[in-house]
Formats: sequence, structure tokens, C-alpha cells
Amino acid sequence: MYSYLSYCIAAYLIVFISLIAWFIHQFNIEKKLNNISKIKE
Amino acid sequence: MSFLFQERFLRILFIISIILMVVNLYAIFFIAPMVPEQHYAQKIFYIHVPIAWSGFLSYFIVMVAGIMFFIKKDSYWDRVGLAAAEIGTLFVALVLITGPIWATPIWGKPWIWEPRLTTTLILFLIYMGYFMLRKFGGHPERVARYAAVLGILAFLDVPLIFYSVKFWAPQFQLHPQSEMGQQPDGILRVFLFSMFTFTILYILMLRFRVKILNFHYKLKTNNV
Repeated sequence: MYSYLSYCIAAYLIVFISLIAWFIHQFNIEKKLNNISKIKE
Repeated sequence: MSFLFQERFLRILFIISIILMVVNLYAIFFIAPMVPEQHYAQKIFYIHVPIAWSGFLSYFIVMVAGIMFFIKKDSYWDRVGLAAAEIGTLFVALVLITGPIWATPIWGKPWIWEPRLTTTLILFLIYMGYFMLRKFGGHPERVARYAAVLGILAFLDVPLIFYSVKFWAPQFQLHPQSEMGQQPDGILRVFLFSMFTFTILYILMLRFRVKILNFHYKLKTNNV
């Protein structure tokens, strides 16, 4: 017997963790670029 | 401060996205009726389909950006195409993950080589090729031209995915073939709200990513 709730939770966790990770990754890229820009100035 | 909070439009879109997503999750779990045969597994459908829609919308933007790149000869459209390709591929990867999670309890196995699944996987693999071309294609101007062509051609697979349930005979299909309009009102309303929420989130992600790519381009060309 499958636990429908655990499949549901797994799917939602994967989606939302991926989306949050994407935003964090973008913030990190932005930070790196800002540092490079400051060095260039 | 991040671009996300500097620009008014992005800031508003960010706040709206968070509010919409919270309301969306509440509606999915507490308002939408439970489907007895699928129980909680059916709730995956409320994010699986909107993510697929946003992914395909993103690939449509890649195609439009490719066409605009050839018309305007402006590298801005190359960056829009790249941003849309990245986000589209993230979304299609999530579709390819959430689909088998739903299928395991419903079909009894995570993957079946049926038309819609296979054509979606092909689209994902085409975009893997797209990123390899971006990475190893050589001269940036040549890469931008080739990527624009590939982005235009890759979109041809999207209508094929959409109509695959009609093109192939029903005995090869496992995807639900009923029209969305035939769903009960409670399900349809929540589903459409989820589609709207993910579209707003997609617009936010695209705009944010394009801003970062523009900044990177300016740094590279020493305009900062």
C-alpha cells in the first residue's frame, strides 16, 4: 500500500527547495559580481 | 542590496509571488476537494501542471528571444534567451521529477515510455545540448547565433508534447486525456489559481536573472 501523503510531501519539498536554492544561487552570483565591480572601481 | 529589492517592479513582484504562493498552498491543501482514488497524490497535479506550463512558456520566450536576436542584432536578446532557457530547464527538470513521484503510487511504476513523457524527456535533452553548446561552442558571437537557432528549433517539440495525447493512439497513452474544463469547479478554480501563481513567479525569476546577466555582461565589457 502506497502512502499517498509521503509522495505528495516529497514532490512539494523537492519543488520548493529547488526554487529557494535557485534564488540563493542568484544572490551568491550577484554578490560575486558586486565584489568584482568594486575591485574594478 | 540585491536587484530583487532595488527595482520597484521586482520588489512588488517578489512580495506578490510570496503572498500568492502561500494562498495557493492553502487552497491546494485546504480548499480543493480530495479525489478519492488518488487521495493526497492528486495534490501533486496542482504544482506539476503549472510548472510544466511555466517551463514551456519559458521555452517559448527562448524562441522569441532567438528571433529578436536575429532581427535586432542585439546581445540583450541573447541574454534573455539564456535566462529563459535556464529557468525553463529547471522547470522541466522539476516536471520530470514530480511526474514519476505522482506516477509511482498511481501507475505502480515511476516511468513508462508513453508519448508525453518521452517527448518531454527529449525536450529536456535538447536543452542539455543547448547548454553544452553555450559552454563549449567557442566564440561568443557564434555561440549566440547557434543558440538562437537551436532555441527556435527546440520549441517545435513543445506543440508535439502538448498534442502527443492526440497524435498517438489511446492504447499508447497513460496521461489523462480529459479536458481541464471537464474537471469539477473546486478543482478547476484552484488549478487555475496555481497556474497564475507560477506564471507570476516565472516572470519574477526571468526578470531577476536577466538583470544579473546584464550586470555580468556590463562587467565583462568594462562598462561598470
